[in-house]
Amino acid sequence: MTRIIECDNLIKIHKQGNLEVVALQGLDFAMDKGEFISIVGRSGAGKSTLLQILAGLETPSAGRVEVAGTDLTDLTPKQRVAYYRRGVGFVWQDFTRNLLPYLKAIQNIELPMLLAGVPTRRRKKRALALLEATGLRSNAYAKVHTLSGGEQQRLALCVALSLGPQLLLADEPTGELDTETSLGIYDLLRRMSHGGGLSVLVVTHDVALAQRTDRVLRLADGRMATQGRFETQELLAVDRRGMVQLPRDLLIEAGIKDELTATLVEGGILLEPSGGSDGD
Amino acid sequence: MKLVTYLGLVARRLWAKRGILIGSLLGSTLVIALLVLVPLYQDSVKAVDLRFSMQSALAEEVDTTAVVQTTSYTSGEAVANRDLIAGLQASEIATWYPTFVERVQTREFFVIPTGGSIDWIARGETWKQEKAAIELANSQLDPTEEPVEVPNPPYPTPPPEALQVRLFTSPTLEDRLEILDGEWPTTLLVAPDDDADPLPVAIGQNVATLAQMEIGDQFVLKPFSGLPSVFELVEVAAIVAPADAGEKIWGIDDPMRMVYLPLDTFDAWTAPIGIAATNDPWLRPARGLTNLTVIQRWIIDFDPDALQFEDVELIRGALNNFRARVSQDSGGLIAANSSLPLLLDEFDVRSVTVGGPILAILALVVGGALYFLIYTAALQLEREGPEIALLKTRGASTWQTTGIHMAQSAVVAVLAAVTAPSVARILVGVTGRIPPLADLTGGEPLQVSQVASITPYVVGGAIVTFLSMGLSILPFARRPVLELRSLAARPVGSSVWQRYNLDLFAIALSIVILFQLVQRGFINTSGGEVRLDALAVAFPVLLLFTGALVLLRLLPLLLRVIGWVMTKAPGLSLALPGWHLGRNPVPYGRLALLVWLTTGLGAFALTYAGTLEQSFQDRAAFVAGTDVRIIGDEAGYLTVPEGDEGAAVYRSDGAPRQSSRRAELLAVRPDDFAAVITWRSDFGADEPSEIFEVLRPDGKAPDLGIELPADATSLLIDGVVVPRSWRDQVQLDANNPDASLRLMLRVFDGDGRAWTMQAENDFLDSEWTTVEVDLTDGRNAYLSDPVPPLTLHAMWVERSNPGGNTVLNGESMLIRNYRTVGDSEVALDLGELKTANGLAIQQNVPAARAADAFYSEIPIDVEEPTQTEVERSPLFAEGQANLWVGPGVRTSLNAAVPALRAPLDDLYVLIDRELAANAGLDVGELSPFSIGADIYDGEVVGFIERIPAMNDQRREGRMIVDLDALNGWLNGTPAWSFQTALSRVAVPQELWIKTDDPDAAVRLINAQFLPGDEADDIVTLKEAEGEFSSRPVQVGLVAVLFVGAAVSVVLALAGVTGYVLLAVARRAREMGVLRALGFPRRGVAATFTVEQIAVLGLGAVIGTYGGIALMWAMLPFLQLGETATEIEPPVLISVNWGVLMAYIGLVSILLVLSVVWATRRVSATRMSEVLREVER
Repeated sequence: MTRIIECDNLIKIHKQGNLEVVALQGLDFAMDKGEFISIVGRSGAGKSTLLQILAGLETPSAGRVEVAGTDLTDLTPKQRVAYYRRGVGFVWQDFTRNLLPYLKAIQNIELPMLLAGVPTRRRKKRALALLEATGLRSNAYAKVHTLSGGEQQRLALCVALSLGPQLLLADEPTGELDTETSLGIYDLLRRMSHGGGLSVLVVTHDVALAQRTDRVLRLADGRMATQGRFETQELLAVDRRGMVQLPRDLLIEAGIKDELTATLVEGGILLEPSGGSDGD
Repeated sequence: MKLVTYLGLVARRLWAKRGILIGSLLGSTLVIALLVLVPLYQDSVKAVDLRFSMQSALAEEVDTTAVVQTTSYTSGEAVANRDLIAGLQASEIATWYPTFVERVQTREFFVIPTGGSIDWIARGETWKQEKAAIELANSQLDPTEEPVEVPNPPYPTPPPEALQVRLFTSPTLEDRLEILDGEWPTTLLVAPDDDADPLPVAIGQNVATLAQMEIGDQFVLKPFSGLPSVFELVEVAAIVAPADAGEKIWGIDDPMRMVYLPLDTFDAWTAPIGIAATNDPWLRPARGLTNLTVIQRWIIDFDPDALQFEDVELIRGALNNFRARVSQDSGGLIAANSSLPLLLDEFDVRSVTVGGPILAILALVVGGALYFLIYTAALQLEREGPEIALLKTRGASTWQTTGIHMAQSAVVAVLAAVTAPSVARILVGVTGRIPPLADLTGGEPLQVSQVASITPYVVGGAIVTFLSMGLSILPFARRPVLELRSLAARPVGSSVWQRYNLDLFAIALSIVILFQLVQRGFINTSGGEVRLDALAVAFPVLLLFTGALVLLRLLPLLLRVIGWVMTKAPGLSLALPGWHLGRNPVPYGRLALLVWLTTGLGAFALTYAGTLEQSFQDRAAFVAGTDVRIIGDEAGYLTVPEGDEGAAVYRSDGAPRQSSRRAELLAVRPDDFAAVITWRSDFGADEPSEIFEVLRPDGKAPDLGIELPADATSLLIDGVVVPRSWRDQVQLDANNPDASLRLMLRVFDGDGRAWTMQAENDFLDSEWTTVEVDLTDGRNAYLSDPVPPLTLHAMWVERSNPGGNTVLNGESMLIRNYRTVGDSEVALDLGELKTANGLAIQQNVPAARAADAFYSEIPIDVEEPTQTEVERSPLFAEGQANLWVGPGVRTSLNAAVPALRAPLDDLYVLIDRELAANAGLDVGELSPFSIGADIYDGEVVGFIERIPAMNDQRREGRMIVDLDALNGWLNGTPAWSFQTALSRVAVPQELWIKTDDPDAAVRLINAQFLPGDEADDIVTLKEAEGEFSSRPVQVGLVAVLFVGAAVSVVLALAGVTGYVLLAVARRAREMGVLRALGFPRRGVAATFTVEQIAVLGLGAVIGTYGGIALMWAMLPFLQLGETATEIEPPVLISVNWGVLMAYIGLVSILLVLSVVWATRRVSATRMSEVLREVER
């Protein structure tokens, strides 16, 4: 599989007055093309920072990040514009940050293409196709404020996808939507990912929704904590040096304190508290 | 296609943000309209000023005249001249000079009566007969006999008192005269049937009165100069008066004192009219008034309503052409003149000097409006931060983001440019309804005049507004997306000015420009042309902005302090806003800055208007000197109305040390003068009473001589002229008439008037006589009789029968018993008087000396008289007397009159420092001072600085002396005056009156002048004030100041409302939290309001003082008056705190209301929405 995202030892330090807050502490992460990944984690874990770095809105303090072969650590303004136009699409939680209220639905979709210099006919065709795909065809000429929250977010998806990006980044895209609508959005994203080869990275608080993605990444303290689909069988990231960080809950559950024993078993590695089991 | 789509996007943005953009549109329209207003308003006000100037100008200031003077007047030439002027008037200047009148007039003629005591016609006839007889006798003489000489013809000659008149005619003469008696003379082109018959004329009423003539009377008219045979016998056909004495045709002449001829008669009779010589009493072959000096003059009437503002240059050119062509076409004979160009020059200068501040103030208003635009554009962009961020994340490049905003600004600017000219015209019109200008326009809208094209202003304004709105996108467009997103919630910190230290640059620039302006002046007057320095116009606005930028640095610090103080308050409503202010004061600083700029502009405008108004009053007071100043003959001696205070003032010139530089001189009575003079504290170091009191150190009027009893009505003196011996008298009798001497006195009366009085009878050399001087009358023609008590200042004698010019011939006199007569007789002691100019007095000489002298030599054939006979002689007197010994022959040309007079003290002189420095004088130093034509010794007793009504530009320096002391010097000197006309004594020509009722004072004073006489000039404070403040350009300036103040209020309101609305939106979350925590709605709103009002208050306070400071910087503008010369007295800043506080109060109320209105959202929001804000 071709990698769409590669993050290597990513560090981001925010300065707030005299304070320095480390948002990402050497994060390593990779994503393949066509994957549909969700990132979960507590507030302050670094989810949004990671997304903003991937979106090219922030530059990392150290480390390397590449998206679709574009090194995001040192973008010129021109490269940044090109990246926004062709490399990545965004959907934000707040509808108002996704759509221009004074434009009609189709005009919102056409806007990025207009800015990119796409000819009118192609713009229109592409916009209508996206509206068709998202079930908003009938709302093409509706004003934004007449659309429901779900429709607005679907429209936001259309806008983000209008220039055909390889990667779609979505920050809590269903944060302001009800569960049913949210599920609809996630289904749509899955269809686009699996059907259209679009790589989708979603930040969410909602574990249930996260489970509808191909992979769930848990961020904690600016590092990748676990990777996986299920809570009982965490997916953990292995960095280049072969280091694995085990979730604290897992260690407690397994009774592992200071040391553990790793035993190679068939099909995997068995990790046990040092000195054997306490008895359970 | 892409462009169309872009424009579509822009259009949608515009429509979506129409609410905010309407504000920008209004601001832009205002800026462009104000710029367009500059030429429109200036031209319109100038047009009113021009009309006002033209209408209030005197006729001689605007009319054009053409004149030709000739000694060979002929009808043909006169007609040709008339046609020439009429033609050129029609072709060159008829637009503004539609009509003209012509007058033809001669120099003086004598009116020689005939038919009474001297019948010149009879004399002529007699001579004619004599001549005929002599010639007949001569013809019969033997050739050896000498023929008898024929006497010269007895041509009429004028008596000494002959009345002088002028001959006058005009093509329209008959229409301009009213016939009081008789009939208009018939035109007579040839000699009458009987060659000797008189020529019929009309005479003015005064000629008839003075020469005692009636219809049908005849007299001879003889030119003042010319051949003896040129004269004309005329007959009064009509007595006339002018139909309108004020008509221009009369010029400065008195139409009542003219002799009129119909034009054709005049033309015919100024050429020889052949007659049979035998018919003429003087045997002249021709009649007619030949070789007269005739002045043909055209007065071309100016029509003030015809001159439009646009025509100013046109009329200059037309007048120049007219003058040049008149001169050229008449071969240099006719000269045409007009003072109109001078008036237009004054108008031009005034336009520049007064227009300068108008421009500067409009520049300020434009500057304020621009700041408002930039400020609101920046505010709007802060709100649009997330949208820009969205565009950027959707792939918009920096240029695309910028382009969209720029296009939007361009649309607004273009719309504004389209509407602004109409708005400007409406604004110009509206100013005509504003009180100061309304007085001139009658409340009608100001008529808009336009000379220069306004297109450059519109285009310039559009570009400026476009840049003001559009450029603010540049720093925003480059910002990162995340920063843009947070802009709406967290405004930027330091301004671009501070970041690049542009404020420091602006300070340096302001200082350099101020230095430059101080060095070379605000108005450039080099090369004779008055021009406005562009820097001077830009300087105030630059200074205001520099101040604002500096404050932008300082205000956050101040706000932090204020915030800290507020946090100490017990209630949360104060503490919370205080915390906010202290935490992030920069954006508040910008708000305070807006308020400071706008209130500063208003405070400046009001202070400027107040200062200007005060300056008008000061200048009027300085010109007038007091409430009413009457100038005229003897005005100083007129009676001041009861209840008013008055001071007599003598005005002349003088100089210390006989300097060639003449200073302006006033002679005053210190107490009186100090009581009436208008005074401003900077006119001198002390109060006027203290300054002037040094003129009379002992507080008393100067001693001018011997004070006579108040009841004295006459002065008696016994005396006799010491005669020549009897024998000498007999021998010289034929050529040496009796020497009789007239006693003359110089007396000052109670009003200080100098009188020359003479005795009613003479001292004789034939007997002792008692001469009596009537003290109730004098030789001077004052308006009233002498006012007691009188002071005898000098005494002298003159020959009452002078031979030739000899007024004194070395006579001696015995004189004694000086006494006055009134209720009782009082003996006088003249010891105080001293001899002068060669007069010697021997005391206690035997009174018999006169008789002794007479009888010292007796004629040869006369018997020696006995002692008894001697004692019986009227020349004899017993006892003793004083012997006055004259110095020898004195003629009337000898100004030094031997006299007995009171010695005078040195003059005390107040002098200005510059004059003193030039003369090397200091207080206490003695110096000769030339005053008028004489030189007196004086002492400098103090310095003066500025004295109202002493501003004669022709003089260098100022001096003040005591009126009575100077009176003694000026009028105390005896002058030969018995036979000659009394030399005019110098009297105070001005009466200064301090009064509450100037009109009544003027009326009462005017009534004291003799009938037909009147004051030369009356200056009243009220009229002077009106004159200064009614100049349309000045009024226009005040009007624009008020407009500026009003605009500032609008800008402040709009800016503050916008800012508070944004702040409310920005801090919705914070307010939500407060509400969620249980803070009541009103509490939140109050918190917010208190915070804004604290900021606004700070801005308003600084703005008020900033505006006053700006006024200070603008003072040099005001120091230059309408004529581009320094104003006297200098302009002082005058802050009308009442008006200013009312203005600030109004602004504050409006601002508070706008804050409350803007924060209504806080209290109106439902709790559910509040909680939603918190969740975000």
